[in-house]
Amino acid sequence: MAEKPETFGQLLRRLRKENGDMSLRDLAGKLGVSFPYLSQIEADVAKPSEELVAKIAKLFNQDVEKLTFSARNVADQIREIKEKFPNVSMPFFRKALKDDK
Amino acid sequence: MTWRQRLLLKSQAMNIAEELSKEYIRRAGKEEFPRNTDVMMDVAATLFGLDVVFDDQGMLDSRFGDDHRIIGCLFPEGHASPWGRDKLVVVNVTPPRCCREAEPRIEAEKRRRREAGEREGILMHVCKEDTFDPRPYNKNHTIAHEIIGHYALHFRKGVGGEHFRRPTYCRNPQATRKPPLEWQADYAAGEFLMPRDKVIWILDGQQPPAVINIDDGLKKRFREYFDASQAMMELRLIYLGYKLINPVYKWADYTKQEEDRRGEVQKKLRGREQERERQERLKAAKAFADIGRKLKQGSPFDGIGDAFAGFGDPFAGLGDPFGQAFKGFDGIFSGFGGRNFRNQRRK
Repeated sequence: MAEKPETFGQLLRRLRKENGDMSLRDLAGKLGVSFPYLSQIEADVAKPSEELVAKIAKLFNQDVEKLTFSARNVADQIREIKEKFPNVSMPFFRKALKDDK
Repeated sequence: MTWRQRLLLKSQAMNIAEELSKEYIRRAGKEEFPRNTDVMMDVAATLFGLDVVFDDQGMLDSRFGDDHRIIGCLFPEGHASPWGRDKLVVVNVTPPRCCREAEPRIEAEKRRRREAGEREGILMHVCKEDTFDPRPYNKNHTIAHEIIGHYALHFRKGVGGEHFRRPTYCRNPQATRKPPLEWQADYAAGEFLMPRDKVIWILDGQQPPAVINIDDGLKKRFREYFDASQAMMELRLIYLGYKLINPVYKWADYTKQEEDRRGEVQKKLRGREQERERQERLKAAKAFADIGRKLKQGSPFDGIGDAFAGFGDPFAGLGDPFGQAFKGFDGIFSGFGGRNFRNQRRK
């Protein structure tokens, strides 16, 4: 059975631990959000805004698009396409998603 | 799984708390007090797959229809939280409604003063809910209570209690009488956050059941070493078997308990005295009833005849004039239906 892809919350927690075992409160302070909101994002019960995802990506030196995909719960098939064609820009995918809907 | 209420031993709670302490030390790399919330959250995630969420939007309040009466909640496997997912521990950090409502009013007043060029001064809201302490326990206590107590000790062992069909364990600090599950979870949380040996050390070696005076010094020591609130400290000391003097919470007051106990003893003694009096009155009433029964059975004049026996016939010397005279009254006496009179006449 294929392993479940890492959720955005799990990814964020991993990044927080890998970068100096930052506390939830410290990270919330750095991102300018409340720690309850961050706890909800880590538990995958709240979805972060694109702005916040960009901040997280910048802070942990990560690819914004990769994080955005993870945060917006994009379907696995689209994720696979994105992985196959990494140079295709995000706006293209957004448009594709809109057209698909 | 069968859900049941079960009597749990203190040793079971202690064992679970000890296991979690070991895991905590392994993760944190040292034994530390106060416990670190982030490490506790890690332990919960790795050992049980539970995520901890802080609710500052009043989700718990709206779900349970109450204004900040629930301070924490566990949503184990198969029991969806207000966010739709399970395996979640929710800590309520939403301010009470009156504080939430006051915030925009304060901001508006500040803005008005700034615009009017007035001095801003200090504007603050005084919480109306003076009878209710929204955070008697800190978030570490709530997390430990839910994870060690309700999840490890209750849910995984199939102990259900009153939430027989709905094992979402919530905590209500307003409850005057805590259900057994809550006491057990509090005890387990206390074992993890404030181990017995550390408490004895803080109390300069005083062992239970010593009488402890809750003064500012002790409060400070507990706050600095364990980050414990007043309620947490008093609860822990009570559970360890100490007797408290001058506590804030009535349930922890040893002197009041003593007074109550004395009152109870006196009430019992008074009750016994009253019972004795009642028994005596009953005996007396029974005796009177016996006499009455005897009187009804025989003639009231039975004894009187004998009593006058020694006097001979008092009317003997009077001749017969009265004998003739009284003959006419016979019919009158019989008309009263006096059975005794009639019986006597038959005799």
